[in-house]
Amino acid sequence: MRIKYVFGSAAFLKIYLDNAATTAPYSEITGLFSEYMSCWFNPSGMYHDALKAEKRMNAARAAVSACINAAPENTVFTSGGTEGSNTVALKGFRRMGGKKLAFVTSEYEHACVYNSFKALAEAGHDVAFVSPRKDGHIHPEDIAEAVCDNTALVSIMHVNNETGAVNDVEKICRAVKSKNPQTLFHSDGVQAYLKVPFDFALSALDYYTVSAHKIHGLKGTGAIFCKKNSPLRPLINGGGQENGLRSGTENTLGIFAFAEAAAIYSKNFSEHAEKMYSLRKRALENLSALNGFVMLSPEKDFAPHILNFAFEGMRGEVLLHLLEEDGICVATGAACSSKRGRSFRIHKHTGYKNDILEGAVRMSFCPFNTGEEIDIACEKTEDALKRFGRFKRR
Amino acid sequence: MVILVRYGEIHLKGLNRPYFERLLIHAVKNAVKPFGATVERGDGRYFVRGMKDADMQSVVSALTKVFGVHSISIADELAKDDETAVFAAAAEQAGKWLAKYGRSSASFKVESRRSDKRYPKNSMQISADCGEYILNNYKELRVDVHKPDFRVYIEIRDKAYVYADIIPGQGGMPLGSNGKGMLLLSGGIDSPVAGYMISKRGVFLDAVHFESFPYTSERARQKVIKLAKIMSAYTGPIRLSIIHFTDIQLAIYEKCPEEQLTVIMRRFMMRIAERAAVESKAQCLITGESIGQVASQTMEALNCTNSAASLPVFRPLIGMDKQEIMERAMAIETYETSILPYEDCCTVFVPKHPSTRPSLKKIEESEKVLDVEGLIEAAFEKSLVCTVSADSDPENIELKFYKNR
Repeated sequence: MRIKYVFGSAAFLKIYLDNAATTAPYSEITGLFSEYMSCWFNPSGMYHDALKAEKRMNAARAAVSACINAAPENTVFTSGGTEGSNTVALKGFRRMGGKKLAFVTSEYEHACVYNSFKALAEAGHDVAFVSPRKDGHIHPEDIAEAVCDNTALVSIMHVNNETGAVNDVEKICRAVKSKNPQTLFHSDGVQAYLKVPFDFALSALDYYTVSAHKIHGLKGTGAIFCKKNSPLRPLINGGGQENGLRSGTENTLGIFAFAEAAAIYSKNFSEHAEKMYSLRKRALENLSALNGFVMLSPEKDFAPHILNFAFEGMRGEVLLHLLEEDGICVATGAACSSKRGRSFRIHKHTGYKNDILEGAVRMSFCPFNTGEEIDIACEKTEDALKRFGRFKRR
Repeated sequence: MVILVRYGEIHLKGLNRPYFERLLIHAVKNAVKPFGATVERGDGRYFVRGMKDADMQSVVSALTKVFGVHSISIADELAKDDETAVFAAAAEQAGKWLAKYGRSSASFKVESRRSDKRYPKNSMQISADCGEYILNNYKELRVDVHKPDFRVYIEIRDKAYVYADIIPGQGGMPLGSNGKGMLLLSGGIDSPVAGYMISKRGVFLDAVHFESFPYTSERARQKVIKLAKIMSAYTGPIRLSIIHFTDIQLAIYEKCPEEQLTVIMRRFMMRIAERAAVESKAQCLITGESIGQVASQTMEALNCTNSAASLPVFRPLIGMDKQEIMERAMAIETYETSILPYEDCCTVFVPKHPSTRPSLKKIEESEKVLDVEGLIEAAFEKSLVCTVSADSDPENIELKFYKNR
């Protein structure tokens, strides 16, 4: 969508193509803000208004869970994807009397999973970081091979946040369980939730974590979906909210908005997906015709909303700033990591050299982007390449 | 409670002393103004009074950033005829020292001065009697006049002043006593330190920063504004010109030999800084260069860069090692900001093998293909300027076009 932004006294029209970083809230949520001014009670209170808030929160829990066929009684609200993944990675397994355990995850997980498993390794556990194959996907047999007798937990992301690769987590999970039925399985579903089809109840997964602000909800809210008997201990201790699994007064406004957003997104699931696939296709057709185009997203099994590419000799950051001059917002990598120096961990499997990977740019779409916006963004990319493509770093 | 502010080097000044004093008292007043404190001139020191007790530490910290201030003490101010009260205050200072360091025993010394020579006791007597008073009150203390753990000071002036701590100030000369300089501020570790060192000699600062959008980001600009803000707590407000440098860099890239890129680029920086200096009446350029630190700071390269400007170029870090510079940066609190990892204009196009021994003749030859004046003119056309002071909000600073300044 073209969004009107106001900076100082000037208003600009922007083309926002960084929807994997965060999305604009649905306009349908607006009403909740004013409603919240009279419905701000702590759901743990003992009086009527508190009870009302609690009921509404539980309705929200049901709505959010229903979208992927999860059981609401095993759904835990969190502050977002990072907290969800940290909780599961650090607390979602059987401790076995404190002995050394084994864990498996992938080399291209989001930092919230990756660094949690690094922490497990630092705590003395065996952690295997399995690489994706050249096709951009994690293969079930590779993961199964890494699983051993004392593997407590495996965590593989559903959709990669930079490349958009969709992993067949169900197949991976079954491969893990057939090798070791005791092993628990988590998938980071932040980029996948409501973007690709998924049925949690039918799957063999134990945990699935999601975030509200990627589906036009608000920041500061997310959820962990669990299976009934999957062991989970709290990461945050306190007053015992969320069945004791996530203490702290619930972010009711965020939760209500999450439910609203999930319901709308889910109702429009096919249309949304179709729209984004077509935008992605259009962008790919336009961009791949340009000189030096390098595709970093997988050729098949990709999410509808993410296109990852590079242009030879054009650093991603430079292209980003040039597009920014024309009011177009894209990303060079995950927003969470681009403030620090770039790491090539995510793209290592592509086999490209670092000077190509330095060019990595991610365009990510939402159902409200238009074909015209994509055309403008691609035109401006072409412009940028013409103006600056010849100044290569030596 | 009163804060004693002592000044250093301007003692040395002869007939000009009132001029330096005026600048210094102005700076001291400015520093304490936000706390509602007043400044009174005494002999060889200023007395700062009227701040709230809760603000005491903030006032002291503001004063430690004023150039020209030699040291600072928080003192009890008492009537000098009541000797027992003076001694009791001294004993209390001793008690506070013990409590602060959690010591069960320690040695101390009383040091006294009197500018009021009519006072019935001389300094030695005051110290001895006060020492005895303290010993009688604190059994855990003993006197050591050579290497005491701490000292208690008594000054007999119009009133009596008692304190235990002497907090070092910045030293240097009051701001404005030595004109204005133009600092080339990169965003790295060195240039803020260089600016600070020159400013400490009483020099007001303006600064130029070179940016290379789209190769550098808005975050890099933000970082430089933040550095200027940290510096301005010492140097006073800094007018920061943000020079659009990309087109110049690209022109050099296209038309000049690769190994000379950096030196030619730095010569452009000097020319631009000089023009900005002349336009804001600064009388020197200041850089953070240090001999041999990088390829562009070899003797030969410095010579080439130096020749591009005719104003004197001051390089206070010229003989310092990186480690020393880093320590200074930490002391003035610019270090943490300087090491934020945003690309700056100097690293955008780095030759693979820069020439470490460039010859001025060859460089000048290479520059002939460039429209030097035209490029500089065009750069100023797109450049921005802002004024950064200690209370600026770096994230919401007002930027104007340089040409409309």
